[in-house]
Amino acid sequence: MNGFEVVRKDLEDVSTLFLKGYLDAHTYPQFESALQKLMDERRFKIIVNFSDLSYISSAGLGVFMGFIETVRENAGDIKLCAMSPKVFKVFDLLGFPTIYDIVNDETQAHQKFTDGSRTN
Amino acid sequence: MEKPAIKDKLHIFFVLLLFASGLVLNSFLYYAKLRFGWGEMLNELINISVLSLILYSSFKTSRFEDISITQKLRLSLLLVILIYVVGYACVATVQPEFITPRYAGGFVMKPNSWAAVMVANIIGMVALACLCVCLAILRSLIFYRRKKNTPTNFYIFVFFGALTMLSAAMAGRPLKYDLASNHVMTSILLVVTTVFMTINVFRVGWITVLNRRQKFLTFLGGILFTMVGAGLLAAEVGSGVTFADMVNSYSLMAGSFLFLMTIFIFLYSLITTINALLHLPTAAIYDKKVREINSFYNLSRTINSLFDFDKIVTTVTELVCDATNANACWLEMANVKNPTARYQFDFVALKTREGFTVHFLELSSKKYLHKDKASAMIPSNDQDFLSYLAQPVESILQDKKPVLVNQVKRDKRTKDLKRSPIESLIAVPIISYDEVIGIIYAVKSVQFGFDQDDAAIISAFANQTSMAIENTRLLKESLEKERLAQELRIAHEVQMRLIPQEIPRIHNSSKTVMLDIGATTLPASEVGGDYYDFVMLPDMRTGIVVADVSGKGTSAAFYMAEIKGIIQSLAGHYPSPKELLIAVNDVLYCSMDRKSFITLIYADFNVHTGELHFARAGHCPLLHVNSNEHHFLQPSGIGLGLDNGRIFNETIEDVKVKVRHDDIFVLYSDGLIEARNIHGEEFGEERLCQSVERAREHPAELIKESIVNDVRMFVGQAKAHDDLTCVVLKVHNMNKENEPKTPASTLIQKSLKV
Repeated sequence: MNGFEVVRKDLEDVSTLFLKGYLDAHTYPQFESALQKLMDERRFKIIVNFSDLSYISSAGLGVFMGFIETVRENAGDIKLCAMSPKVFKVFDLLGFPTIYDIVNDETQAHQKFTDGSRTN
Repeated sequence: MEKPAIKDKLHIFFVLLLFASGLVLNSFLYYAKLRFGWGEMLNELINISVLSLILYSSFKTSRFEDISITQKLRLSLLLVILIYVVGYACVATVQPEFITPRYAGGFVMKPNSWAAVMVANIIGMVALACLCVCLAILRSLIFYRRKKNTPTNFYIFVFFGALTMLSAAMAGRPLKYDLASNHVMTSILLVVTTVFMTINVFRVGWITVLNRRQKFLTFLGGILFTMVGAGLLAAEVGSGVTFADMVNSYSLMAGSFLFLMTIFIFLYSLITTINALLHLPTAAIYDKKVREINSFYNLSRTINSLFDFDKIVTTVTELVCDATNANACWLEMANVKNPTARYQFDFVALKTREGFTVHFLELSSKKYLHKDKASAMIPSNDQDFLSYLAQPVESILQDKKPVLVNQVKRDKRTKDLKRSPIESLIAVPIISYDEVIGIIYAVKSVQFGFDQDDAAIISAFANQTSMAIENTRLLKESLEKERLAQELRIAHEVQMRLIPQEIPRIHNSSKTVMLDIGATTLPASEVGGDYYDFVMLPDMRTGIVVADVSGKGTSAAFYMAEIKGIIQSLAGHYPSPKELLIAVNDVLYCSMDRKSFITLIYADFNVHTGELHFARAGHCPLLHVNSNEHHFLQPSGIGLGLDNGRIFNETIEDVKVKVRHDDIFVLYSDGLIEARNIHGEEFGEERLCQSVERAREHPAELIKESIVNDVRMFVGQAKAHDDLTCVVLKVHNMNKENEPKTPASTLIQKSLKV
């Protein structure tokens, strides 16, 4: 009923995951395996695009926490972008803006990565 | 069972009585030299009675239904031979004399001595009795696989036979196929009888069900029977006298019966012999088919009730041996845990190479052998026996089709098997969901031991086996499911006990300040992730907790128990909610898995000072409603267990609210705000405020009820997708001194970084 879809696009060393539909307790394993695949391929610069995501539940939020440590240990990051106000509210409630970079659009997210690598 | 026995005895008694009276009558007639027709008539009447009585008795009872076909054949042969034995014995003892007297019209021989009378009588009676029983047996054979017309045809034959006999007796001439010597009427009847007899003699369907050996014996027996039957008419017993002559001299009725029966037996055994001969070439194949059908029936009957893998294997291997006459059969199953492992195994030691189990059945012992025992069965020089089978196994895995090797020692695929006694081999895959899950092997010590039919029947067995194994698996799964459901029930019960069983009454010593509480949690599934609790603290303080553990089920229940323990034990040691939550996060972060976290709101109400002190760790805001306005208080703070403390400690904020009379606070979980109706709309904060407003004059319990009812109404038929928790606090403050000068809302706004 509540479909969910992950589409992945790679640009140089940055991978973007486009989320679509409902990310909840039923669909989060799909998202999890997409992230796990990136980990297996050792791609740690990840952008998650929320523009088409209509709902996220606490189980969906948990997925981010499951990977962020590994990603950051490997000099990568997960940047979140293009959230609808509703989705942002959920992230905000949980205090995610203090843990993750949340930006308005994908270009900004890419910019964050390039800025970051220059300073490194 | 007693009644028919008595009836039978009665019948036998009457038959014997009638025979005795016949004997007496004939002796009397002989000595009295009476040649009156009435004497003959009386004799015939006696014989008709005997005939009817025996036929009635043997047709009526079902005694011939119970005995097997071979027994019937043996019995009828014995009966006919008995006539011979009795006949020759009598003739040899008394040397009877017969003449053809003129008074009888020159057609019938008559005894010329009393001894001859006796001999004729005895032979006549024995023949009558034996042939009656023979007729009954033949009837039961003819009625085998009866059709609608079978009884009709038979009884028409019997009817016309009886008429013919009667006609012959009336005419006073013995029945013969020499039509000229018969009376015209008799001849016509004889022809009709013969026609119906011929129709009946072709009913030999029972031959097909005999096995090869029985068919062969039937063929031999048939030849003997044909000759014996013909002999009753033709064989000369004494000086120019045949059996027929003697019986005719006793009674024309009995003679005609002997004649007709002899013809019948002769024709029937002739047809039987020819049929048995024709069936002989196909008998072996027929036997095999029957065996296959039987074993297949046995398999499907037993295997569906087997839920034990070892028993399934034993049954299958035994039945394959039965159906194909194989010398040995064994099963090899793929290991479920390692399905990609190659089908390679060490049969000899049955050490079972990685990923395999081998089950072996040796026909001679008919015993299912477990790994350790089987090693003794294998000759020591066949160390690599099973690795020799690698090539057939490869091809089975590829094509999923049976492999048939009929000359093992010449075939390239099995050339390594040279030293084994195996001459032919068949290997059939067991397929489940298009995957080869095992292989059935059957071997014989002769070349060309298996054919395509064997492959087909073993494939059928393989299908059954696959189904049985599948059934076993499903049963296991459903048991597992049942067990999980049971665990969830227990988790649910535990969880329900973690939630306060009663709501505390909170007031100060003078009862001027009271906190009225209404609380509930509604789990969406058996075990939810929502939780609320109250903690009694020193200095007239009360802690109120609402939390939501990410995820559901058993793990959520465990975390819930953990957080309850942590908060109950730590709450008294920290002066502010912020400090408490920092401590809680420190403990939780170490014990939670990275994907899980807890959002929580903790409020500390002090009845003494009339202050509500709270902090929020990633949870929904606190709703504060007073006389004319409402606010969602959302101080910053991230969820518990997300961070090792670096960010958590920096972001968490403490808020202090000075409460006034009739202030209402609502602590809730996201399940309340995000409750969706069938159109996918969320309940939302606006509706929550409206619910509270509507019920604001009522006690906290009723305000809570109002909120829950509104959510239920809103959701309607839609399925709840998250737990719903709601704790309503309503303040009664009669202590006017404690009223703050400034409105509460402004005070709060100042303390928040929005």
